Amino acid sequence: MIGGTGSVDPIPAIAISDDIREQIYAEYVGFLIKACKVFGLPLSCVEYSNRELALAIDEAEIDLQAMLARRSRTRGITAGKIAGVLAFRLSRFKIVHFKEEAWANSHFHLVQELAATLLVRKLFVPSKMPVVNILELSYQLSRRHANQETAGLFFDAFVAEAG
Amino acid sequence: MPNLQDVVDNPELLEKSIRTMMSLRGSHGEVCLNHGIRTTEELDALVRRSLEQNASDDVDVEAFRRLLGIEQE
Repeated sequence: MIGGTGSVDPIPAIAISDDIREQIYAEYVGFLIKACKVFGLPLSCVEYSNRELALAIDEAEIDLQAMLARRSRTRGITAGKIAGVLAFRLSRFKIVHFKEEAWANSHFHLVQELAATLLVRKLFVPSKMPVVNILELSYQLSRRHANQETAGLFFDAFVAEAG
Repeated sequence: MPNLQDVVDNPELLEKSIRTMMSLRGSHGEVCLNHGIRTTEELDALVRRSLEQNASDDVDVEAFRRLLGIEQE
């Protein structure tokens, strides 16, 4: 039902299936390891919260349903917008935690955001993304202002470039 | 648009205004750009396609480190 009009919604709500969730969890850990290597962080200093990672995906699913309702239930939303939603939620939940040995690393604030950006690039962006743009979005997500839809615009540009 | 003074002077106008607003629920139009994924199945297919196309995790760790000047640290 939509908005009390009494009509039956013919389109089922979008969901992140169990298969895709498993892929996301597995790929996330792989990209978190890559992000640690980029910044020279020993893997033994880094832990991740299973619960927070799962909750981030739950929240992303709610965002997708809201974005679909707001934009176009019948015509859908772009892959870039979905990527933006996931990147945003994977950077906002308290997924990655560091032991004291990591605190002096000047880039450790970017680890979670870089892992998120690398993951959604693999899942949703068929074209190559320059390293500088990946780092820029990671910085935006970590230190500046970005929401799901503005992050989505960023990914939309690279999806469009791939044609 | 109802004029406030008219509404104060004529309670029927307020009732009519409320009826109008109630009838507008669910009338939100759809955004006419950037279309794509609508369903769980379409999302599944998109991710599967991407995973097949991007099978290798081609993260050039050294390129990131060079850009950040990490090798000088």
